[in-house]
Amino acid sequence: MTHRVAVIGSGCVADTHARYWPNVHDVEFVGMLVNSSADSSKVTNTFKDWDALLAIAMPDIIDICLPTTRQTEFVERAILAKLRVLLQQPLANSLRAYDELLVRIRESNVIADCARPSIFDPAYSAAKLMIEEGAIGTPAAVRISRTSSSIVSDNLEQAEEKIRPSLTSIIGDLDWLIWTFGPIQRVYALNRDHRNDVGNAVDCSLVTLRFASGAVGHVSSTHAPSNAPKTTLEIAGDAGLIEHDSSRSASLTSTSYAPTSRTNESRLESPMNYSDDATYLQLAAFVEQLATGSVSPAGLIAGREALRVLLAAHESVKTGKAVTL
Amino acid sequence: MTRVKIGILSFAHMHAYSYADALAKHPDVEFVGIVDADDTRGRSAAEQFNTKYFTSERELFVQDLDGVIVTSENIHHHTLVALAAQSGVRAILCEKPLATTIDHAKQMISLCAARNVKLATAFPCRYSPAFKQLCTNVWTGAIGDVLAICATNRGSMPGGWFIDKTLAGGAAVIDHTVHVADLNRVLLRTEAETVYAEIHNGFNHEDWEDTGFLSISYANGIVASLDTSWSRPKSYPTWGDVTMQVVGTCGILNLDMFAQNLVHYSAKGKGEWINFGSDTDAGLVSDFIHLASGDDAPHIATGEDGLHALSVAIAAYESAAKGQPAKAHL
Repeated sequence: MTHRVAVIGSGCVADTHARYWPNVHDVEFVGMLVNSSADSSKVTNTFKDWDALLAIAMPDIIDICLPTTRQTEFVERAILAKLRVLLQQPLANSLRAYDELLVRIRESNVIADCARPSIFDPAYSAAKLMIEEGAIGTPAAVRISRTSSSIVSDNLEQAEEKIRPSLTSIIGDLDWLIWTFGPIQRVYALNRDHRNDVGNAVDCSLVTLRFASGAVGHVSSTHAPSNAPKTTLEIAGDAGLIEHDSSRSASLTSTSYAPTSRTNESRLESPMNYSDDATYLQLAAFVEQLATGSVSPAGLIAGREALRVLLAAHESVKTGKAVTL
Repeated sequence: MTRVKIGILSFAHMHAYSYADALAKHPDVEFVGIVDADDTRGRSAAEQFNTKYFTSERELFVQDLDGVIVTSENIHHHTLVALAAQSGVRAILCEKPLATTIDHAKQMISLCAARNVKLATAFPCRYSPAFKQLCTNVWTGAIGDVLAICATNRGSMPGGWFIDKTLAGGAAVIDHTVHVADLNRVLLRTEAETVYAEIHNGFNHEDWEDTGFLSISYANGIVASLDTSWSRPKSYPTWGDVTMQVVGTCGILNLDMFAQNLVHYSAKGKGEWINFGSDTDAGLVSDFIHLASGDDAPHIATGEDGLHALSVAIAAYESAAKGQPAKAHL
C-alpha cells in the first residue's frame, strides 16, 4: 500500500521532513501545509489552507512539525479527517495536557506516534548498541553537550512559566538517556539567559541527573546567535569509555573564501545515505509500523517520561532545589 | 645573587616530582633536600634530583631554608605546614587541596600569618597561557558578560593514598574540584555561593566516590557545572584534563588546557598524547621562588585562595549527602 503523506509546518523540521518523505518506501509525498507568510518556493505542492490540503492532496498521514502549543489543534483535525498522525516532542507543555492528548488519541482510535530523533541518530544508536554489548561495562557517568544556533526570541519574552528553549531542546537527549540508562530519579538544573540590544538571545542550561541505577548524568545546552551546531557525547562505565564529538566526526568541511576578510567561513557536514539517516529512519519506522499493523504508541509513552524529566528540570531552575521524581 | 634555599616535605603526591624537576633546573635555587615519611621513596627522589635526603623535618629545617614545598598526603598538609611555619621559612607552597577540612585550612592560614610566613596553594592551572588568554579575553569584554561555565577536570583513578579517605579527605571530588573552583574564581572575580553535587562510585564500586558532577551558583548569578570524575580508563591517552566552555552575552570561549599534543602510536601498547604546551608547574614554582626570596608573586594562589576552592569541594560533599544544594561556607 502506498501512503499519502503531508507535512504540516514551515520550520526547519518541516523542511527536513518534506525533503526525506519522498525517499521513504511505500510513500507518496503529497504536500505541505505552510502558514501564510512562509516561503513555499522549496516545495512545489504547498498549501496554505487545511481544507484545500485535504481536498486536493488527499493525505492519509499527516506529519505535524509544529511548535508544542499548536500540535493538539492538528491532532483534532486529523481525528475529524480520520488521518494517521506523526507528532514531534514535546507534545505538550504540561503532563496534564499531555495526558489529555493521550486520552483523546486513544478514545478516537486515531493511529498516532511521536518522532524520537535521538533514538534513530546513528551515533546515539551505535553508542547504545556498544553499551548493550558490554563495551564499557556498567555505565556510571554520561555527559551530553549540545550547542545550537539562535532561538525563537519570543520564548524569552514570555512569563517565567515558559520553559527555556535551551531546556526544551534537550528533550530528545532525555528520551535517549532514559531509553539507554533507565529511569531518572532526581534532577537539578541551572539556567541563565540574556537578550542583547539587537534582539539576539543567549540561553544556557546545565542539567544534572541521577538515574535509578545510581549512574549520574549531565546535559548542557547552549543556544546562541550564530552558534555552530555541535553535540558531544561521553559515556563512561566500569570497563570503558565512549566519546563522540560531532565536530570531529564530520566527514565534509566546506570553506568559503571571504574576499574582503582574512577570515574564511567553514561549514561542517556529515552526510549519510538516506537509508542510514536519522530523519529517514524515524519516518520509515512509522510507515513500517503501519505496514505490519503493529502500531504501538511507544514514542508517545517515552515522550511523556522525557517531558516529566524536562518539567522537573524547569521546576528546579525556578526553585533552586533538586527535584525527586 | 644568593640562591634561594628550598626543601620538599614528602614525595607522596606525584606532583612533587615535577616541582622538584623545576627546582633542580632553576638557576636561582639551591635545592637543599628532601624529607619523606617513606624512607625508600625519599632517598630515591633525593638521588634522582641530585639533592640530600634528611631523616627528619628538624634536620632539614636547620639548613636555614627560605621556602618549603609540602607534597604529602592531604591529611598531613596541616601538620607539615605548621612545622614549616614554625621553622622560620619565608614561604610555603602547599599541594592542593590545601587541607581536608575548613578548620584545618583556617588554622594553617592563621599560623602562617602570625609568623609572617607567606602560604601559597599549588594551583598550576593558573599559569596556563591559554587560561591567561581566556581571562584577558573575558576581562576585556570579548564575550560580553559571563552567563555560564561548563567545565571538566576528569582523569584516571590514581590509586594509592588518593583512595584512602582518611589520608585524602575524600576521593575524586576533593581531588579534582579545587583546580577549576580556583580557575572560576580567578576568572569571575566572585565567590561560589551554593554547590549541588551528584556523586557515585560506579567505576570502581568501592566506598569512595569516583564520580562527581557539581553545579555551582555564584554571587553575581553566574552558573557553572564541573565534572570531577575519575572516568578515564587506564587505556586513555592522558591522566587528566581541564576544559571550560565560557558562555557570555556576546560570545563563547572554549578552553582545552592540555590540547597542545602530538599523538603517538607505538608498535606496542596504547596511543599517547605528547604535550608540547607550556609547563604550568614550572610557572608555579618560579613564582614560589620569588615568594621565598622575599619578592612579591601576585599571581600565585594564596592560602585564602586554597581555602575558597576547598569550600566548594566540602560543600559538594554536604550537598551529595542531603540531595540538595549546600552553601559554600568559609
